[in-house]
Amino acid sequence: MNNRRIKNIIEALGKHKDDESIQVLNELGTNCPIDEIRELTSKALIRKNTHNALELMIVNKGKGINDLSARVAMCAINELLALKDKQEAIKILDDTINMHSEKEVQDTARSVKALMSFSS
Amino acid sequence: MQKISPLRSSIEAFNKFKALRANKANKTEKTQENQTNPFGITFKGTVIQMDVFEKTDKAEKATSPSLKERIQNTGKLLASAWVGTINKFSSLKTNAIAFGNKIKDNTIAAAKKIRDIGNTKVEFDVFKYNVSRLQNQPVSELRTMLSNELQGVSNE
Repeated sequence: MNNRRIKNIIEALGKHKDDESIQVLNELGTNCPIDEIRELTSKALIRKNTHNALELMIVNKGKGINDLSARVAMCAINELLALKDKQEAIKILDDTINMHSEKEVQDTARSVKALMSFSS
Repeated sequence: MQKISPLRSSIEAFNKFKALRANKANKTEKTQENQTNPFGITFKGTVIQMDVFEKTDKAEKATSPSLKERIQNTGKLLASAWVGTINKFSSLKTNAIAFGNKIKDNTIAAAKKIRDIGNTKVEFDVFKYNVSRLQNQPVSELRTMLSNELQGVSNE
């Protein structure tokens, strides 16, 4: 896929100040069957670095770092590692490790947290 | 019978030979004179000499034309050059007219195109889908735009 318009809209939604943009990205972007669009959406949401956006990418099964596509998951992890302020992300990761019902999600969160502690 | 001495007889023989030779020489001279008049035409008894005949130097005349002829020839050359120039100018004129007509047609076509463009609303993707411009738009609008684009991609 090489659609510059979709990329620009997702990027604009990622930079948008309105919290409703997170909902739009979650509904249209993370549920899209095209890997590249999910990848772009993950990047846009993680770059927002807000609690709601990061929670979507860390806690939800099949989205963000838990995506079924390894490429999308790795892209989300890379984006988390590239964050300047990782405080909020680590906090959510800790909560996920401690309180999430799914063991798979807990393991993924643990791995990502380990990576983040190494990188910082 | 007179007795002839050998010396006298030899002198006589020499004289005869001399006379004969003189006669022969005269004959050759005459033929040389008559060469210009091969038919031996006479006028009041005298043989017509070569001066009477017309000189055959017409070819020479043709090779070196007189001043008048030269002027005439120059005039002809000038006339032909002038005709050539007229032809050139006429061709230039037709070319210029064709060029002018072409420009006119192109201008009319361009004016029509501009009129059509003026009637239709032209939106440039570069400006419409600029990130900084999209950022300032309401999210609902972005939602519809994204859903439309995604539908287009999934239909491909």
